[in-house]
Formats: sequence, C-alpha cells, structure tokens
Amino acid sequence: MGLNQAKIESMVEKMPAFPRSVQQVIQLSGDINCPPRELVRVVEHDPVLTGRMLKIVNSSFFGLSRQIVSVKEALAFIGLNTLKHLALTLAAVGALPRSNQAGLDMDKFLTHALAVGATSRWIGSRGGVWSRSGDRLFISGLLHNIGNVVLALHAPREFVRIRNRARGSGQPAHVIEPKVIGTTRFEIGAMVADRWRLSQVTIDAIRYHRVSPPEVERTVDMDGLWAGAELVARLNGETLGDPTPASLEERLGGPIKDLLANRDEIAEVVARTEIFKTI
Amino acid sequence: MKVRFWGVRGSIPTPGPHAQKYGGNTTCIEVLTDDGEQFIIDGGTGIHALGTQLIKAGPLKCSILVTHTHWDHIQGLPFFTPLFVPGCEVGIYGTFDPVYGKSLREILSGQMEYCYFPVSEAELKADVQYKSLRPGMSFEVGKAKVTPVPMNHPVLTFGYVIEADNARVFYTGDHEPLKNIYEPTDDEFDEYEGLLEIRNESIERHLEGIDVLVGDSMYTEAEYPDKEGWGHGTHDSVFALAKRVKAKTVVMTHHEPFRTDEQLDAIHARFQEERNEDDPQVLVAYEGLEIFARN
Repeated sequence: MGLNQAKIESMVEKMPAFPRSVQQVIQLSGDINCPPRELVRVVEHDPVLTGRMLKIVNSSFFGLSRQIVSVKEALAFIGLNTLKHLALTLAAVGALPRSNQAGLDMDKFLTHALAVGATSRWIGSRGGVWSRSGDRLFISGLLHNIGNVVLALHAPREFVRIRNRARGSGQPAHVIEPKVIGTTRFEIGAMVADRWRLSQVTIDAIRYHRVSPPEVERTVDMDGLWAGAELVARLNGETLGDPTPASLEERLGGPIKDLLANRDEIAEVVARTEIFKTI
Repeated sequence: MKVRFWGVRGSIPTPGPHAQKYGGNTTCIEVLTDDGEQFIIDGGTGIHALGTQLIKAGPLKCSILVTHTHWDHIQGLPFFTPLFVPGCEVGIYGTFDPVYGKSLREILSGQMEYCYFPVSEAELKADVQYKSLRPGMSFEVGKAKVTPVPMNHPVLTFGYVIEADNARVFYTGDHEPLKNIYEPTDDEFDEYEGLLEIRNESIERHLEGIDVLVGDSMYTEAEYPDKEGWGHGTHDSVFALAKRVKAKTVVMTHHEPFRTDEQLDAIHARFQEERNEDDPQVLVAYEGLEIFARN
C-alpha cells in the first residue's frame, strides 16, 4: 500500500505557494551585507507582513515609548539586525497554513513548530561549529513537520491511520509512515521546502534530520534540528526515540542530555516565541 | 557625582607599550553619587581592578548598568570580586536580546558556563539581582535616577543617563550616528531624513544641557568609511552630538584597540585647538581619569 509518487507530488503542488516576499526576506536575512532599503522595500510591499511587523514592534515585547507607524520608522528605531530577525520570523510563521480538516490541531502544530524553531536557533547561538546557523535552524525547525500538514490536508485517512498506529505501537511516526504511505512526512516536507525554493541545506535538514542514510554526510543543520526537536521532547518528559547521531555528540562536545542543564533558559527562549502565535 | 574611568578600550583588551598612558582595559565606568550610590556602567575588563579596589572596604551594594552584551562590555564581570563575597548586593541592569530571545541573565550566565569559566553563576556568593529594563523607562536607586536610552548598534544597546546631586551624566554605550539608507536622489530620501530627525530627537531630548557626556569615539573620520555599519562613532561625531545638546563636558572613550598614546594625545590636542569658547570642554578618557559632574 501507499501513496504513489504522482499522488504525493500532486499533494505537494496543492500546498499554497510560499509568498514571494517571504522567500525574499529569507534570502535577504541570510545576507550579512543585506542592503537595509531592500529589506524595507520587500516588507513594505507585503501589507500583511507590514501589519504584523508594526503590531509586534508596538507591542510590550519591545516596550517602545512611541507608536511606530511604518517599516522605515521601525528600522530607524530598532535597527537592521532586529528588523531582519522579526521579518524572518513573522514571514515564516505567516506562511504556515492555519487550518485543516483532518484533526491536526494547528494551534498545537504552530506551538510545537515555534518551540523546535526557537530551540534549534538556541543551539545555533552557541557559536563555534554552530556559528551563523541560528536563523537557518529557526526556519528548519519551524518547517520540520510541514509534511504532516500536507498529509492532514490532502491524505486525511492516511494521516489518521499513521497517528493511531504510532500511538498504539509506541513507535515513532516516521517508522510507521513508509508502511502506510510509502514515504515519510520528512520527505514530503523536503519536497514542500524545495517547491518553496528554500536553500538546499534547509531542504536536506528537513529531509534527513531524524534519520539519514550512511552515504549522507550529516550537516550542522541536520544535527542542530535533530537536537532542537529532541530537546523539546525531553523538556516535555519524552524522547523522540531515535539514536543520537554521533556527529551531533561530536559537535556538542558531549551527550545531548548535558544541554538539559540549560532547561530554564531553553524554556524561556521558547516562551518568548508565544507572541508570534498571536500576531 | 564622581565619574572615574577603569576601562577605555573598545573590542579587545590591549595592554602594551602603546597603551601606557591611556590604558588597555575594555569599557568600565564608575559613577559614585555624593550619597554613596555606587554605579558601574559596563563590565569590560576594567571592572576587575574596580572590584578589587571596592571590596577592600568590605561588602558593598552596587548597580551595574550593562549597555549591551558584546564581549568588550561584559568580559570582566566574572572577575568582579564582590560577586564572590557574601553580603554584597549587586543589581545588574540591562536589556534582553530580541534576536535570540535571551534575557540579560541568560547571556551573562552563559559566559560563566564551565567551558568558559571555572565558577558557575549558581556558585556566586553575593546577592545578585537581574533587572530587565524598558527603553526610556526611568528607575531610581536611592536618590539617583537612571534612564535607559536606546542607541544605534547592531544589537539593542542602551545609553544611560544618571541623574543625582543636581547633575547629569550620560554614557552612549556603543553608538553609531544614524544614516539615511537612501541616496539623495531617491524619492524616499526626505521621508527617511524626517524619521532620522525624530529618532535623533528621541535620544537627544534626554541629553539637553547634560553635564558630562561620555561617547563612543572608536574611529577617526578617515577610518570611518571602512567601518560604516559596525555600530561605532567617531571623535567628530561625538563632539558634534555634545555640541548639539549643549553638553558642558564631553569625554571620548571606547578607543580603537591599536590607537597609541601619542595618537590619542594628538586627537585631544586637535579638539583643544579647534573648539570655540562656547563648545563643550573636551577630554579623552584614560584609565584613572576622574571627573566631578556638577551643575
């Protein structure tokens, strides 16, 4: 049994297009020489993104003493780096679908996506081998389960079957998925990311972060995303159930459980993403 | 109100023959009010000597105002002896990092993880309180009033106005004058120019007639074009700011690491020569420089 390749491709095709402005923001955010006026132009041309941006800049998150009424003014007051970060986060969160008809709780989905995104970015903030991976890891974390949304929207019966079997057997869903649909949600997620023209390193992180074949060399992004997802599970008293990649332990300089000493810090980083759910 | 400089370099500590007169420690400024309220602006490496000096009188109470958490402004904090002495009360004030979502405490305790430092934050003996500040929201410590003013640097940075004893002192922290992102020929140039006026006014309204203005003057005008966007000012930009707000005294600090004693002397001499009678008095900060802010 399973979904054939054509069916999967058609499901991915049915996903809403990634707004061009979001792609541009992601591209510009990754450019350390990003011209400020280019970023302003891209955000200003997307009224939804502009509205969200102004809402958060004027929220208690920043606590500015004056009302900011334009993207240009936001730039003058909060600076380019902070504006880039906000644009990236708001653009990516805004691109996620907000509803489906197959029992996938989108609020929970978004909460989990933000938690994994924020935790992965926290790992990226550790410097050293993780240097400059933070924003990419945030995007990967936010979208790591986007394949699940595709299934819930376009293959709802299979989605429910996978969920029930995983619950019944205690096995990770990605172990059940090949038997039900002939592929995994991470493969489907990678196809979505490819369609959305995200960078190859992000596509690969979504595809291979949980399990990678031996011929694939594990990247910083794959390991950072694996660690982000596992830490979020462990903070909830669970585990994803996959063996820890050796490359990750090498990059961390020790077992992942050592990072749990920073439990409060990670929880605070995750809590700060709450505001993006309400914007 | 006494102001004393314990660290005057930017970026990295630079001991050596070139820094015998001005010193090589990174940013740390002590402000002591007549009532004995002890403020320390930034915990660069200069804070080590300050802490050693302060603790001689026994347990103390002090407020550390952190402009931002780049290394040269926090690197000395783990070596601030009062943090390890029972009975000391240390308030650490600053902002959170909106990019990484980290609080001041997370960032500062991060540099005391075992891989960087042998004593963890949890092992400090002093009563340490972290206080997160909001832009422009003044607070009081004893009879002194402190106002955090958001400046322009790649990370969220506060300058601080300290008001006590009928006098006011301001330190910019790291600050680069804002620049129009458009070319004069662009349609948006005038609009952005107007926004910059508003933004500058949001800083300068706190500084009108300030008694002592301490400013980031990392670069010379000749160096600046290659450093644009790095978040620092020049000697001339700080002097211009001091003139605009009619400061009584301007102190240039956060010296570029390779700047030699002779070069700093020459810079001081140039401003002494060029300033008009009504212009602010110009000082170039060195370790041990002590001035008294009076109205």
